[in-house]
Amino acid sequence: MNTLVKILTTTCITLTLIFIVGSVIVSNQLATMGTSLHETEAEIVKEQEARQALETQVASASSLLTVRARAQELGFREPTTKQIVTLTLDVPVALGTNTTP
Amino acid sequence: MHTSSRASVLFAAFCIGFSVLAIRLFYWQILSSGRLSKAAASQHFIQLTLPAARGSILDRNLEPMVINQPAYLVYAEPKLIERVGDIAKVLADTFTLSQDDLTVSLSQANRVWVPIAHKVEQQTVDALQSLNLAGIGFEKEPKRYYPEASSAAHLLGFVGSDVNGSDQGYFGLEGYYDRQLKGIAGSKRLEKDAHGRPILIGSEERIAPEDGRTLVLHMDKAVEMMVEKRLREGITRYGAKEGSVVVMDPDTGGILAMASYPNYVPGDFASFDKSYFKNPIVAGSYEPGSTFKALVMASAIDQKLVKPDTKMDEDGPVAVGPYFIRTWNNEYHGEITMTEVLEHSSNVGMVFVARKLGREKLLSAIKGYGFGEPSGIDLEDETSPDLRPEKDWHEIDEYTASFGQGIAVTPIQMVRAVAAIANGGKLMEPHVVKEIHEPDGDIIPIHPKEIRQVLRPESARITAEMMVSAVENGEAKWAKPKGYRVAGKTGTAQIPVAGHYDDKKTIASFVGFAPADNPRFVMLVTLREPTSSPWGSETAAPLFFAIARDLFTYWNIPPQ
Repeated sequence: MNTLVKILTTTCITLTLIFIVGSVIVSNQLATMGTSLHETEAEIVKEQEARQALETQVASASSLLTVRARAQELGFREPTTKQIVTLTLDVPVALGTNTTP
Repeated sequence: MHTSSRASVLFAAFCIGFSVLAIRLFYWQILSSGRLSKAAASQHFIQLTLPAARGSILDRNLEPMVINQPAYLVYAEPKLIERVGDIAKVLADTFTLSQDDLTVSLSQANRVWVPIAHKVEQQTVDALQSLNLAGIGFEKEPKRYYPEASSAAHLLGFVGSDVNGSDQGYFGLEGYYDRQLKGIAGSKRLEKDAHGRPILIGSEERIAPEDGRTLVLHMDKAVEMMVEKRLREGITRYGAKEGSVVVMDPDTGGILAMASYPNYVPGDFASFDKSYFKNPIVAGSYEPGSTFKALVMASAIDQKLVKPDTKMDEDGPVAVGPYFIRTWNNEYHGEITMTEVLEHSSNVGMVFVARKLGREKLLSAIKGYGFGEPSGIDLEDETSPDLRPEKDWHEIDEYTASFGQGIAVTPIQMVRAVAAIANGGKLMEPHVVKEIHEPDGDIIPIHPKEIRQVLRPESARITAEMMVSAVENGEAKWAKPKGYRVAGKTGTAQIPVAGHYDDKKTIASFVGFAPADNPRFVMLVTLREPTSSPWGSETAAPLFFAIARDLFTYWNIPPQ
């Protein structure tokens, strides 16, 4: 009986010591990771800013103002009313009908 | 000294000692607790504000009209600056500031922090950072970006600062939807070490920011650009002082385009006088002139008081007390139908219609179309001119109102009233925003809102047909695109100045919709004080048709 009590007591003390030491080690490691957390957060902010800057560039490059200016540089001109031809659904020839010569 | 006396002295000394301790403890624990707690917290915690990103504004195809771009507050810390003169020169050159004023500000050793410039763009900040200027810092301060520059400026509004220096939307959508767009800032509280770095095993409190919502508009920015281009050309061609165009979907009340000139650049609003900021389409009133005839005629038809072929005798001016009401060109056509009254834009013919209606029905019709009350459009600066009280209406007022003089309306009121003729008689609430997108992806649709049925569908159809005749046979027929059925009405209103109408200054307008049988859009064009011609038929009408032609092509609407 005494032996069992001794074993249990020793085991408990050993486990307690292991947990205390482990806790101290983990706490120390975590405490020193503040720097890397700080760096990671700064990196996130930097990436967000970069993404926002890219979104702005895309919006600028695809804006109608830019597209119109670029089209004019390339020689495109707006069509005159005479250059626009409207095709109605009523086809003026007998397309699609089964006729024999 | 007796033993009991010594004990008493000792007891008294203890009492005094404990009292002093208690008082001191009371001072530290109670009286100073707030201050000390804050001091301790500032030493042990980092309190960060997590700003909410302001929502974007997108057109109906989800193309950006307004987004955020990275920008910075540039500030100086005078204690860290060594060569004040050199740095003041660089900053003065970069931001166009007075070098002398900057030198004075940066030389004040007692100032910890001096703001230099707000909302500075990335390129400028990069250039300054490359110079490694000691004592110059940068703080993130996002800025609005407008990919289409001044396009739809009056509709969008702009973002300025409130009294606390925080972003605040003004005018247009930025003003109306400011709370939706700005979101709610969050905060983060972390324990920190002696170097100010966060301690992971310490406590952390975090309230996540709620980013602003994104607005999706009925507007198509390609349509907006087309309208603006034509309006600019029209103002130049006709020598007008100002001009406006609004294009609306008659079925939903959705605003497809809204342009006014002169306008301003929202991204550089501080360079413009504040008189530019109000949107003339919702905040400016004018006398609608002959465009109003179509509405009064529709009501008379709805009341079954006249028909398109009802005849009246246009044999000369109509005398009303000491006044004479004449036609616009003082020409008279004898017996004409109601359709011809609109075709000739006859003031005398409208007096006939107003007499048929009578004061009560005329006023009821005017109110029914929504005049005298705000349209409910989702733009911040809407105003509504008051209608004259009923008791102040005289016979002459009824007659002049029937052809759109002596009554003030806003362009948005006018276009939505005419939309009721286009859509089968429904008065719709005009809306700029079609959907609101939540940051988590949820979509809140804004459904079209019908205010009331103001005309029977049959009356609306008959009036639309009369308006088609007014275009086909009226003064502006030369400008109409061939093959298309367009319903419309010209208007030329004199401008009231100091109690009388100015003979030379007019507001020329044209309101209409197309295709007449199944309208895709209703549009109002107004030009203030055109100099090439005072008449709507020679200025606003051709501009209307030029825009309509562009819309037919863009939307692939074939001729009827």
